[in-house]
Amino acid sequence: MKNTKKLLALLLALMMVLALAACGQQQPAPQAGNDEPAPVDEPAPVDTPKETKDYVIIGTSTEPNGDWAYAAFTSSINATDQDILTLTDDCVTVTSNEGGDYVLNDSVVKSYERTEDADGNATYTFEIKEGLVFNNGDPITAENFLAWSLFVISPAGKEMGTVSNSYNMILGGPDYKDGNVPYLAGLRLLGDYSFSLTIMATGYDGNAYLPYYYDLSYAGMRAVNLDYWFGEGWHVKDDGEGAYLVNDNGLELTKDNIADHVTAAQYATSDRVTAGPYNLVNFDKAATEITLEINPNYCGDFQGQKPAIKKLVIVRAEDETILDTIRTGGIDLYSGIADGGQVNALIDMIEGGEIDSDYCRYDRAGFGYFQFACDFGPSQWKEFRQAVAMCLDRNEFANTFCQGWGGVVHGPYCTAFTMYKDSKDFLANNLNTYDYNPDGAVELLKSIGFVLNADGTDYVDGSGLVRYKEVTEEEAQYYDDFVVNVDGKILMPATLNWASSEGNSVSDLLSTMLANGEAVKQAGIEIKQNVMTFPELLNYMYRQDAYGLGGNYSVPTYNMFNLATGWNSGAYDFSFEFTTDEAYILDGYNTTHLYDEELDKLSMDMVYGVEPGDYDTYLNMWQQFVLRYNEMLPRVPLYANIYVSVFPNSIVNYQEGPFWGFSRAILYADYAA
Amino acid sequence: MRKYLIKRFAYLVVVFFVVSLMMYAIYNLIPSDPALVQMEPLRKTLKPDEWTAQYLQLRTKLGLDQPLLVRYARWMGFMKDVDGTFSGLLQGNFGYSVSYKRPVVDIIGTPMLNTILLNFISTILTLAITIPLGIYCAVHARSAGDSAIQAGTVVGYSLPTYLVGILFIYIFAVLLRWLPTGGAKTPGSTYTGTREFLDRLYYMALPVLVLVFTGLAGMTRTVRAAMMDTLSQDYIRTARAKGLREKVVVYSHAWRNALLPVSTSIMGWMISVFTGGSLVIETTFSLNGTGRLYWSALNTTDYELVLAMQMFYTLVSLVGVLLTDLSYTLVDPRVRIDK
Repeated sequence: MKNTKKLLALLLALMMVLALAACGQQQPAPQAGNDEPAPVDEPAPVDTPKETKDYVIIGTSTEPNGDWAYAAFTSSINATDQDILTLTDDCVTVTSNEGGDYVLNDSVVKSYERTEDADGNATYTFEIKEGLVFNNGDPITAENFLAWSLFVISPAGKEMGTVSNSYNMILGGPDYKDGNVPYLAGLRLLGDYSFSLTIMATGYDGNAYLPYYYDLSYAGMRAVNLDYWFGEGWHVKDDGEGAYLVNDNGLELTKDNIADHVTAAQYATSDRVTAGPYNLVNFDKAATEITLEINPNYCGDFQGQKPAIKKLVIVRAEDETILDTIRTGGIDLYSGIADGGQVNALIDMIEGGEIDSDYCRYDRAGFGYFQFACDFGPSQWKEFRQAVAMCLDRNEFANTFCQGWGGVVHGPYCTAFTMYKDSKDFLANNLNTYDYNPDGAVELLKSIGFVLNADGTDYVDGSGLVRYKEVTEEEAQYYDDFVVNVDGKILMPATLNWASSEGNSVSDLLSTMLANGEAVKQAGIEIKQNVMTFPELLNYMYRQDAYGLGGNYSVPTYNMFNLATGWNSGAYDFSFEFTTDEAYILDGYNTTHLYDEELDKLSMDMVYGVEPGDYDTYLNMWQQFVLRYNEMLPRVPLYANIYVSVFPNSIVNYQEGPFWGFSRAILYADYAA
Repeated sequence: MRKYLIKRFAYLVVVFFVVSLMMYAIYNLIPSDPALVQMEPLRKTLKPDEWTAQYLQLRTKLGLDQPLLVRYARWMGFMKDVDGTFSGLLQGNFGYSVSYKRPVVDIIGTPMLNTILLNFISTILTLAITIPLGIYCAVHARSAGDSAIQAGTVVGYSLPTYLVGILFIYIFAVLLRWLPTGGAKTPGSTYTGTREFLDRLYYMALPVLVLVFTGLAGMTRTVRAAMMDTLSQDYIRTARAKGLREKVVVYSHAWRNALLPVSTSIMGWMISVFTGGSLVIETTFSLNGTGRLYWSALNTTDYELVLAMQMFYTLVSLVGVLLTDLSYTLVDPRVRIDK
């Protein structure tokens, strides 16, 4: 017993000593494989010369999953994983530029040709440059660009759970996917450095794929290392009918033969064989930290740009403590701060010399909004929707919410779009900005018959009561909880049933400035806020049953929702979003339930009715679409943030943009002299 | 003893399955569609027909078109799954995380180890401080020192952990620059051996300090109360009357007897903090632990991950209660659990 006591006491003492020793240690500089204690220095004030770091610590609020299979097995890929992929895998035929437009990657593509047959099917033929290599020195040839598609669409890939539907649009896709033929007719290996891809104008699923304004995106293909992903001995061959994967050792392309390799490559935490500006050196899951080092074999991005910053360390950062972490040097670079309060504090820190950093700012490629269900309740009338918009001072809302770091847009766009830049005058002259105008809202409500009280008597403006309108049975559908029957007449109140997600600061402000605002009350409108979880809100919005338990989600219940949207690239594609096709609507498309033939046609024709490159036609349709959207107002834009990114003064030429995140901008950064 | 253990084990099994059914039913009542969660991001990339086909296919694959009891039986491993094999909890399949897109078992290991390490250190330190403090307070009950300790420890107990965390970050990281604001290691370092261990401890120091500070009051008061109760017993008076030194009275006679109620508290407390993680601490200090994982899974409606963690906690709690009961015999030889 005495020995046990002694042991316990010793352990406790040891633990305390170690903890104290650890507490006394200063933050050391990263060193590879170092087992020696780092020199202990006093904390240096900002203005004293610091040791030059050759690495940059980047904070991310999104935890990396470490899935590097290019979203082959998953419906989505998180922002950090996407950044890592951009930084490590950039040997692609098509990429996007600073404006978000799809462009050919001139560092990879030597020549490119697009041809079309009589049926409108398009063939994209590439010749890639010789001398391209992976980070391990393996040469990159045409085989490497075909291999991934051949795997993803193959029966083996499908058995492993790949989610791509590209087989519907690639010539011969279904036959290859189902194992009827061993080759994919739409992919051709034309030589060591040449290959082609054929896309069907009308896919095997009956959908029209061409013409498509952004059809260059179809031709985006990525080089993967066959040995690394599938094991040794795999090659791509073409006997004249189409490309296929074959193994030197006689292995069949089956799940059993490749699954282990694919899974190992998919979740590798180091030593990935890739061809991007950086190499994945280590993914430390315990510390949630990713280390990347420059790839000397990189051929450059689409402009030939190669990185100068030798090492990137990406760490998890918490929103609550991000400023303190930046202040204490825990993070050098942090992208896309949206919170106005944090931005103001950050700029104070920079301008006050508290941190040796600078910042860049850019408009968010997206906006926050509230949307209506336009097929029932009072929101079925566009004048009502417009009246609600006029009861909110959106400029004030945006200013309050973004604390000066944001603004308002008046349609479904962001200011970074080329179309917007080319349409500024048109939009300024033609868009209704729905300025704060409670009187105007009253006039609009009167114009559609909201002129009664609940008892059927005439409504007196300014009474503060809720307005009513006499409606038909059809118009009153799904609004039983709100409509009243008076003397055989059905009266519908100007009441919106709002589904609002919990813990949402936009909802809180919307509640204060709109739902409980004076303008709404004086106009005779009522907005009932119903707080719920976001998944439940989505169920009501999509009107779909959840988890097979039935429920009332398919019954129209709420006619106002607040959400946000964004674009990852400059591709502006609203197709199917305003569909009037009953089957698509039942499947959750067209969540605004605005059944407007004109808007539906414009949203489809804008991308599927315009030849690639015909910008003038596209721009004209885009303007008409925005105009119609602005008039019908299925959604009311609320705010569009200005994002701010902070970076250390030890690097220069760092500039992010709406479609140009840190993973692209860092390639252009260099060490300060 | 064996009979008692068999009885307790049977009880444990029954409770485990009852709890599992209840938990499964509760999480399935939450209005969320795992198939929709997985498929929603594909709306913009798939054509509607294809999206619908894949959505329905996924619902079938996940077995969502089956009644609740069937789904439970499959999840637990009592029934064959959609693929015709038994692959439930009982077969070691903890489910599939829709947010991480990986089997749950591949996800929880690392956070669990982090949480256990963090909580192990903080628990040992807390006990090392609170036990002597509690004894001191009991021996010097109602003295100025006792009152000061009571008041001091209750501050940590009363303040929200989040607030203490932010306050400590401000003091120790921002003002004094002694410790980092968060994280688990020096970014980019590739230390090994002792250097790595010390680096990890350095980054763990601040969260440990917060955990210790906020955990002082509870155990101090438990020890104090147990000791005060024991010190008022007749045999303590007898011991003192015999002329024994006060140190011997306190540590050899009183403390050993006071240990019985204290040990149950310690046992339960240790099991809960070892495995449960601390959402607030882990999110404040950017640590990859089970508390944050659990919170993240709830927010992303990743219920298979949530359920797996819940069932693990359930099992640990049940085993913990059993161990606590068994520990009575170790602490107090008078206790015979087989009678």
